[in-house]
Amino acid sequence: MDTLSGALDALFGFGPETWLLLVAGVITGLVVGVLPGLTFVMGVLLLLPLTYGMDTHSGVVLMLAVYVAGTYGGAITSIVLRVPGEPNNVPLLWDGWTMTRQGRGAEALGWAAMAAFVGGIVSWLTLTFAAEPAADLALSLGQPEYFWIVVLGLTSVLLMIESSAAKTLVAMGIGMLVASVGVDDVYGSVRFSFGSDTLRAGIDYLPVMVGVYALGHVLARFGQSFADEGAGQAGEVRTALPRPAAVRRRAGSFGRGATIGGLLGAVPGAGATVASFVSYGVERQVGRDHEQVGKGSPNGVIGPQTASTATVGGAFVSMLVLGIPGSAAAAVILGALQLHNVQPGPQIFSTQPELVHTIVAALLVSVLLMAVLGLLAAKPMIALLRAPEAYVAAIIVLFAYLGAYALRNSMSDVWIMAGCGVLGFLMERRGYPLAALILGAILGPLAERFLVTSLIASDNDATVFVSRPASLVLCCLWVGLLLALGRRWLRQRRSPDKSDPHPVNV
Amino acid sequence: MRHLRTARALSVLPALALITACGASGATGDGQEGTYTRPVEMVVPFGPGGGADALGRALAAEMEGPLGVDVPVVNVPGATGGTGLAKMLSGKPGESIAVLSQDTMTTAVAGSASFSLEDIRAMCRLQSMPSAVMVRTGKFEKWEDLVAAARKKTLTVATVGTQSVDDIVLGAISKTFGTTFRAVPFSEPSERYGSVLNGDVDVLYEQLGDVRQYLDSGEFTPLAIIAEEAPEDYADVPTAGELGLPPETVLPQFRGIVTSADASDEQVEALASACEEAAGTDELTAFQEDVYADPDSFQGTEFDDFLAEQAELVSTQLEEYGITG
Repeated sequence: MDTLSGALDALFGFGPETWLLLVAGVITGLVVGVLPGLTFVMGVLLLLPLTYGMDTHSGVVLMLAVYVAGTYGGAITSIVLRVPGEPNNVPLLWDGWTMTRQGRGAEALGWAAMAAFVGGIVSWLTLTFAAEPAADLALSLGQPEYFWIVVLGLTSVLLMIESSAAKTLVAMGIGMLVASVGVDDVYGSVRFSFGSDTLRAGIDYLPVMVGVYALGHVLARFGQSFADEGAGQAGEVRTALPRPAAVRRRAGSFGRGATIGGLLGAVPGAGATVASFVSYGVERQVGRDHEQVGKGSPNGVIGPQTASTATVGGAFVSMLVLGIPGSAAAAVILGALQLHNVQPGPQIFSTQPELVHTIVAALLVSVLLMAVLGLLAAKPMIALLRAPEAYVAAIIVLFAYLGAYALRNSMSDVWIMAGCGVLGFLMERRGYPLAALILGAILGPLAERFLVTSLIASDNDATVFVSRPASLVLCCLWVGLLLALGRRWLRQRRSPDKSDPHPVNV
Repeated sequence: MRHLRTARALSVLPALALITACGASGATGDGQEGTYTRPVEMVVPFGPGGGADALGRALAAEMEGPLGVDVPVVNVPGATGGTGLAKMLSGKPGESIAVLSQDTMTTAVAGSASFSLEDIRAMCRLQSMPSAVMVRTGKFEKWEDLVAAARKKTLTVATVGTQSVDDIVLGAISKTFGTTFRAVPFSEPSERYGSVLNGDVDVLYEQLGDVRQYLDSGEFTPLAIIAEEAPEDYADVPTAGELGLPPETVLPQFRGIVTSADASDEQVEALASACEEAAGTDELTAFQEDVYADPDSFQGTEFDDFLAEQAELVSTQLEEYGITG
């Protein structure tokens, strides 16, 4: 309850600049959500340098607003034009676009807006009411438990990414290898420096992310001459909000989407895209008219969109409470906090209560603004798609270089960024999942540090990973995850069903 | 296709604008001292929220005036400060400076560090601090209780990193009292203190002033002060001398500022005088009092000599207690 009252205090204390930042952030989020060449993770990343001059609170407020709205903007173009602005909007094509073709576009847009709103409110509730208990719980966790949490994050990626397990593992391994360059965290030995001072100073995950996501993606699109992905001409753009009775009838889809989004958001690494796909898969298997999903059912819009926006809350909880980012966008915000001298962790409620309250209040405002602006601005947002991608690409490249330099005022980060851009381009071309690469780079060093520290503390007794009650629970979860992976692998071997139009792995 | 080519050509414009902007700002940003026209980066080789961080930030803010340029702070934790020193050394000589604590220096003396003392040049020493052996309040009442427990079984101690002063002090205690400890390194201060608070680790060895907030809130209790004299607030806590620890164990736990050995004399002079000026400000004085620090500051060669003397002192003790890289 302290969080709620503190957040309300923070909300009423917001000055005009904060409101301006929130509006600007939500608009930016919707815009980057709409533009296929610009994901919201990129949006948050490229804004990072702008936040240096701001105080911590303003910087986080801005990035948070972009993040929340970014999970929704692309839904509109997915439904109206069959252009998914974000990877997490892809499931909306299957039912959303189908509904538009059936002349029910307005209805689909209404459901998407409603779902984003519900997901956003669930995010806010998660952060308001679950973060503090989670912090209390996290205070009792030790290094072995942190190790398991990170390993769970790394393993769940294998389960959730659609590419082959081998490619995912290779990409993750490359990410870990890149992150291991430099001085080892515990013993100080120098790794893979090849005699270069730049490499000895280590490779931070932020320039890697800028390179892979921003520059690499632009290179890939440049290679395709920014070929149009076949956006049609928008017909009439109208949004018809669902009636309360209809909402009640589909409450199950909202609930399932919110649960999946909230939980997966908290798992390190699994962000909106994973939650959206998983939720779509669930909608196809359960619910009253699950057989209609794929043929133009609102449930196929509600589930994924609710889940996408609901991940924000979970992702923020693990980022703030554990200091382990729950998603790529949260990783960027974590980086921003660290640059501003804030180290999130279980003690954040006692060391930085105002910051937490500001974040909670800003999340609520962002969700409300997103819903209002999203409804009002559906038409101009669609018009944005007429902007040639080349212009957008030029801006991305500019911001990528600027951002990489501004991270630590260091030219070596610019070189690392450029190198990772080429790496990302090559990997994307060959179908290696970039998300796995980034996760390896972010979570790999954490896993190593927690593993080594656990072993030092226990005098090299590896049973600490199963002998403590909390670590045993986490270990069992991990084994469960491995079994699920094994089951999926067996099933795929038995029936290599390539004809499934919407392959979803649950 | 035509508009695409145009677009590609146009895309060069922002880049040109950027380069122009950089050039322009470089030309107009004039440092008062004349030595610096570009920001000087301050590397704090530990995570946010610790003592080195607090000092680095307080000092950076006060050095901006005398230097006439920005002094942005970056935290680069890891390897008892070694990661941060590597980061500083990868920057332009003289345009990147770092907080050097005795712990980080000790890793270089032990030979396990990513840098050597020849790579760095001392600028100014700022403080030396009393440290203490602490526990979560209620874990042990007195020093004797802790010793008795550490004789029966190995106690874990949260430290700043491997091959640090912490290891020397623990080695001396073990040798004097027949106890056994296992040092668990945490480069993030929040994890170091959190592990003691939740009972995962038994004991904390830390500079008193760095955990002032936990001491003031009553969460931590110091059982022994490793300094020649205890601060007034903790006059009743036994000091190393009173407990019979060898006098050389009481290392000053100094913190100072260093830069790359490749920096020019002019740069080092400008930095050292800016540091001296900053150290004399009311803000810094208040800060030093707050963390129980001895604000004895000195610059340049004096600090170099001091470093050499401390290296010698640390080296013999590393050998004595069998702490090797």
